[in-house]
Amino acid sequence: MDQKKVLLVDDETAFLLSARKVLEGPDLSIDTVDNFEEAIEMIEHSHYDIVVTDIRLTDVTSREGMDILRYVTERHPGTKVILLTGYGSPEIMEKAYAMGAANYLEKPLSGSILKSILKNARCG
Amino acid sequence: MTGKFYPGRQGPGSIASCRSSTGTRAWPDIARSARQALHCCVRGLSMLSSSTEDEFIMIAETLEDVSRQTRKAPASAGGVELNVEDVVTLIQFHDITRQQFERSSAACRAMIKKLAAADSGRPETAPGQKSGGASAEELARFCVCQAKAIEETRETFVASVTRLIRKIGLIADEIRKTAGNGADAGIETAVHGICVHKFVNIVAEEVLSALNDLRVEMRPFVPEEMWEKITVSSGRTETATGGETSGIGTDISSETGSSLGDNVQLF
Repeated sequence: MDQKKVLLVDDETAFLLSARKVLEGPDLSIDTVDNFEEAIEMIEHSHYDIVVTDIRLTDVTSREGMDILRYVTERHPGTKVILLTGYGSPEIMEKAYAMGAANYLEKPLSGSILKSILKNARCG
Repeated sequence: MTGKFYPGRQGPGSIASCRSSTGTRAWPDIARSARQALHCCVRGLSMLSSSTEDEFIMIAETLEDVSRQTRKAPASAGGVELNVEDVVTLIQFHDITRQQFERSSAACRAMIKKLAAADSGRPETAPGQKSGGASAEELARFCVCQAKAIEETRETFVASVTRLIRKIGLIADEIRKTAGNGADAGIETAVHGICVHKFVNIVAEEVLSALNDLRVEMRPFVPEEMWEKITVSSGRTETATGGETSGIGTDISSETGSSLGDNVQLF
């Protein structure tokens, strides 16, 4: 199986550090970034099979993850987007799937389950 | 920040002085005191949501030490790996907790705005009246529901950090068993450094105390029938101003700490 290239976007540095430690391996190559602007820059300059992003990247009402989803589905339709949230709702979940999210996951999410989801994702 | 918080000197410490000023029974005075107490809550909740990040980064960086140690002692890798996965799960409670406290803080700010009308002493904001600013019933309901949400969030966070410390301890034990004493110095240091749960307990207690005192202050203004309704409905944690602010309600009783619910769909 080819190694999948994954971009992990979250404003929680601790989560990025620890998740990368668990996810990275022969099946998955992990890049991490903690803000919207750099995420868009990295998506533009590298090809990612999957982008995993927290919905909220700044203040409590922000929804940058949804903006990343919109950007990727419009410009890089071959890339899957998985949304993470620490404070979800059925409405946000419905909206995420309607906008083309491949998955919507609520925190806390076990590292092994996220790894399994990423490894089994059908990309390309 | 954590471990250096002195309640008498900063932030929520001033709630005590807010409380002492709420002896009056005049609604505009109560509303003014309530505004002060809620401002203290906002400050306390802001501290809770912003000041714990460094500790969690330290925990995550500890995983680097773990990788180094397990490379030296590959026999421990299997047991360590399972515990590291749990650490990743538990670390996410920082984000969850932060968002919950931020929402409570936003709800307090919304209530402060509503109370501003009562603060001006306009007659339409008297207890029981619905027009203008917040009513006494609304403020009582708000305090009951927010206190419940904050209490649940605190309990969940403290439980998750306690498990986090235990997991890191298990990782250290596993490495020590296979690599010998002295192999896990960095990990042990990290375990001893984690006192974020104590900080959260101290600040949350101050905020809860202010909310509970406000609730008691509202008691004479709220009809018996309404009071019973407020108390009974507190289990639903629905606020008058902040929308749904239920506790995070995540089941962390299982050993993995995973709480995927039914919203997980594989590709």
